Amino acid sequence: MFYRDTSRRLLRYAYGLTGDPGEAQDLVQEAYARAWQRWRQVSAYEDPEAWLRLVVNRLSTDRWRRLFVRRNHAAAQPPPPAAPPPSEDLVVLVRAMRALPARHRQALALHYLLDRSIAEIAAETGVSIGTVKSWLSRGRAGLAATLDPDPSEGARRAR
Amino acid sequence: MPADLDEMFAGLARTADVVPVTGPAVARRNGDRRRRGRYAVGAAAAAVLLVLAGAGVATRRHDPPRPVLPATTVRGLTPIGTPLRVHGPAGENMFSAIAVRGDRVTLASGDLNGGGLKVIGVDGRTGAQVWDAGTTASFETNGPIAVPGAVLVADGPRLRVLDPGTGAELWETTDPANGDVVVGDGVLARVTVDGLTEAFALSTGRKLWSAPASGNDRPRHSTGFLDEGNVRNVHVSDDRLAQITLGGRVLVRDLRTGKIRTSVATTVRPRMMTDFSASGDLALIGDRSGYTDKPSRLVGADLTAGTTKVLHAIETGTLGVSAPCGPQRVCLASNDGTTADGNLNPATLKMIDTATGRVLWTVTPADAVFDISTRAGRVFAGRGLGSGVLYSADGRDLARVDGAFLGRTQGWIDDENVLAMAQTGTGRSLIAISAADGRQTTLGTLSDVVGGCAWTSEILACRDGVELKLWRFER
Repeated sequence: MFYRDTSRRLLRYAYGLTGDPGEAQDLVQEAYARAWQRWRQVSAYEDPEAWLRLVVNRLSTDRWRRLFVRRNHAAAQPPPPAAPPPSEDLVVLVRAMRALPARHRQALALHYLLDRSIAEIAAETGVSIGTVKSWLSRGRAGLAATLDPDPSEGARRAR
Repeated sequence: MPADLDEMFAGLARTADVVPVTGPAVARRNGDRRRRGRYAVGAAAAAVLLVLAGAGVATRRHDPPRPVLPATTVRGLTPIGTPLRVHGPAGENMFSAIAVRGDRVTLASGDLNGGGLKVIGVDGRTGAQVWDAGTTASFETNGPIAVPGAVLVADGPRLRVLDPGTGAELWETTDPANGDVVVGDGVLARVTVDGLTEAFALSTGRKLWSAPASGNDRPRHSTGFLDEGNVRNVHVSDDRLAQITLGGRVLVRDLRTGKIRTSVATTVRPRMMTDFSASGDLALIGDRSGYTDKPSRLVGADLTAGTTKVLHAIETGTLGVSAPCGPQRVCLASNDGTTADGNLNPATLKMIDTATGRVLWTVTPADAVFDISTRAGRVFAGRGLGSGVLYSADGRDLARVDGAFLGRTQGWIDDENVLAMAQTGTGRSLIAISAADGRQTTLGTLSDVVGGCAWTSEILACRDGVELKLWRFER
C-alpha cells in the first residue's frame, strides 16, 4: 500500500526533475527497489517518501547511475506502456527546467508539483530556509529567462 | 500559453499523473535480489541470535500495585492465553500489523520480501485464534483496520470488508487512492479524489446514496467526528460525514442518507496541505500558506451556529497539527514567527478557548509535535518515534517519554493512563503513565524485536519476536 500511496507522487516528482516519462519511470522503479532492499531501515524513517525522493534526486543527477539503471531495466522487463504525447506548454517548461541547476530544479519540483512549503523543502534538503528561497527565486528567474526572453513578459509569467 | 508558473506546473503534473506506473513487483524483485546477495551470509547468524533472544526473554510482571495510586491507575498486565506464532520468517523480514477493537484482535503478518499477508482473528478474551481470512494478494504496510462492525483490509486496489466475528468477507469496494473513507453508524462512505462521494451499508455493501461533485463543490478532504487513531485515509465517525469543498464550504452530511445537515461557508481554499478535522460541533481547518514568510491560520467552523472564527493566526512561521482538546478547547502546535535570519522560532503548543480565541496556555516542547490527543483535559503531545510529553489541563509538564521506535507505541489507554515504551539494556519496557501525576509504572518487558502494539482500554496486543502476545490491563 505504501507503493500505491506514494508511487504516483514520486513519479510526478521524477517527471519534474527529468522531463522524460520513461526516465521518470525508471527512476521510480529504481528508488523502490532500493527501498525494498533495505525496507526495515527505510520504514523506520519518519518520512520514507522523502527518502525515496532523495534517491530519485540523486539518480537524476548522476548520469552514470542513470545509464546503469536504464540498461538494467531494459534487460529485465518489457518496455513500459507508452505515455501520452506532451503538450506544447509542457515541452517548453521541460526545456526550461532542464536548463536549471539541479538544486533549483529540485526545489521547484517539490514546491510546485508536490505542494511542499519552503520550510518542508529546507527540512528535506538539509539547507536553510533562506537557501531554499534563493533556489526558488533563482529557479523562477531561470525559467522566466528561458520561457520568455522578454524580461517584462517573463517577470509576469514566472511569478 | 498559460499565464503563470502555477498553471504550467499544474499542466506538467497532470501529464505526469497519467504516465503509467509499473506495479511494485519489479521493484520488489530487484530489491529482493540485492538484499539476498547482501544478507545471505548474515541471515543464519541472525536467525540463531533471534532464537536465543526469544528463548531468554519473557514478559515479566512487576511489583505489586502501590496503595497510593488511584484505583483507576493501570498497575500491571495479566497475560491472556498462550502466545501465537506469527506468520512469516523470523528476523528482520517478519512483518506484522495488529488492530484491536472490542474483544477482537486482528493480525496481518507475512514476509517483507514479498507475497501477501496472512490475516487472522484472535479472541481477545482467550488469546485463541478464531478465524483465518487467508492471505492477501498484495502487501499492505498499514495492516488491517478495525472499525466499528467490521475489519477493513486494503488489498491492492481492493478494500475488503470482513466480518470481525468470523473473518468472512462481507463485500468489497475499490480503495479510493488519495481519497477518504469514513465509517460510522453502520455506513461506509468512500470519497474519491475526484470528489465523488458514495455510501454503502457496512455489513452488506448495499449502496445507500451518492453525491457527485465538480468544480468548487468537489470535496477536497473528508473526515469523521471520532478521533480513534485513524489509519491511512480511514476515519471513524458517528452518524455524520464532514467534508470541506474546494470552494471552502464545510459540509456535514447524514451518513445514512447523504443529506446535508449543515453547510458553513469559509474563506479557506483547501489544498493538499490543509488540515481538516471535526469533533462535536466544531470543524478545524489548518489553513497553511505553505510559506514561512506568509500568513497561516487555524480556522474553527461552528457547525451548530454556522459561524467561523480564526482561532490563531500567524504572519510568519508554520502552523502544525491541531486537535480538539475538550469542550471549547483546541490545542495547536506551531512555530509562531521567524527570527531575523529567517529561521523558525521555537515550536510551541497552545491551548485555545474556541469561544473567545484566547490562548489559555503555551508551552515550548523541545521538538516539533506531530500528534495531539487529549483525555479529560490533559494533553499528550507525540513527538514521533515513540517520544512524547504529557501535559496537565493547565499546561504543566507531567511526564516525558523518549523512544526511538517505529509504529504506534504510545497513546492513551483510557482517561487516566498513557501507554509508552522505553528502551532498556536488553529490550523494551512497557510503561503506564498515570495521567493524574505523571507517575510511570513498568508493566512488563519485550524483546528488542517487536512489531508494534495495539490496544483498547482493556487489552494490549503486541508482537514480541515471532509471537503475538495478549495481556489484560490490570488496575
